[in-house]
Amino acid sequence: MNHDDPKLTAYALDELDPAERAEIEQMLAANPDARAEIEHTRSFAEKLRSELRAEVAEALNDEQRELVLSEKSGSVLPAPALAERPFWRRSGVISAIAASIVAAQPGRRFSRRRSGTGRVRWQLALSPQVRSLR
Amino acid sequence: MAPAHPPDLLPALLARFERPLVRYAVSIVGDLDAARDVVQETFIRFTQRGSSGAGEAEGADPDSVAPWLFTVCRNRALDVRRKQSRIIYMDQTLDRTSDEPGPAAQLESTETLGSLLRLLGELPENQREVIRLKFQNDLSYKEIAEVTQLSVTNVGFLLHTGLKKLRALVEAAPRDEWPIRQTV
Repeated sequence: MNHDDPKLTAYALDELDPAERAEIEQMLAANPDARAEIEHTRSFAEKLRSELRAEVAEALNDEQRELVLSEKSGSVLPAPALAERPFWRRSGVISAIAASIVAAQPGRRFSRRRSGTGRVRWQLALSPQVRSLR
Repeated sequence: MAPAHPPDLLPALLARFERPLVRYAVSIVGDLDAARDVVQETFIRFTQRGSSGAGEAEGADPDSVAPWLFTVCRNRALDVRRKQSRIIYMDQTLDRTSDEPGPAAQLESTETLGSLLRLLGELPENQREVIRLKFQNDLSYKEIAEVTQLSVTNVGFLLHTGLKKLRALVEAAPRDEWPIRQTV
């Protein structure tokens, strides 16, 4: 019997239909190595299940949950579809701006210019990423 | 097509699936805020599709809706990831667990989980995903096939191969880096 058989794993995880299960059990009766392999798979699967379920699982924030529940009650609160979000709220943009500003600090320079009206303007030397967002 | 559901099922669905779906979406998009948006949209789609369906089943089991929720969540998360054009797995989940045992037990549990997730990260993405769906979210082979649009046979092969590789990685890991190895 081939121990490297997906059917043995499916048996260990109780995923076979009754007919397949009976077939495997018949083979297992005369194969202690295969039985040991199945026990090993079950033991590992249990540990894996236990560990993975301990991984942190965050919830929606209150505003999002309220929005979902208001959809249920037929409220007309607008759903902020991802594609419709303003560009500055999209994932990555805020961090790109922040990173660009931080990156600009060591080499920060200000240039003093006179506008046509005579008022002084300060211009921060921005990184290319920030300039592209302007 | 969204499964039929009674109108008051939504709070139970939120209670049952909100956190697992956010965790699953984070594993795909790698960003908590984006994952929350994905899950919010998943539930909104559920309410919109479900309320328009005829013959809503009274007393529907929230677990029967799981494949639909995970499927919509996955598709939307993959869309978001394509738009982001980047794959980041949430390393910040490695240093926290959802349980609050005593400090010593918590430290050991956190180290174990962190080591496990690092080893899991060494598997191909399709194997990681079916392992998460099976062992973290308790979906059957058939339900995983529905979510991932693979055949049941293919899901069985990926789980078999993924478990085998993960077990080999655990057995090869230094004993003090992964306490669970002592009991596997």
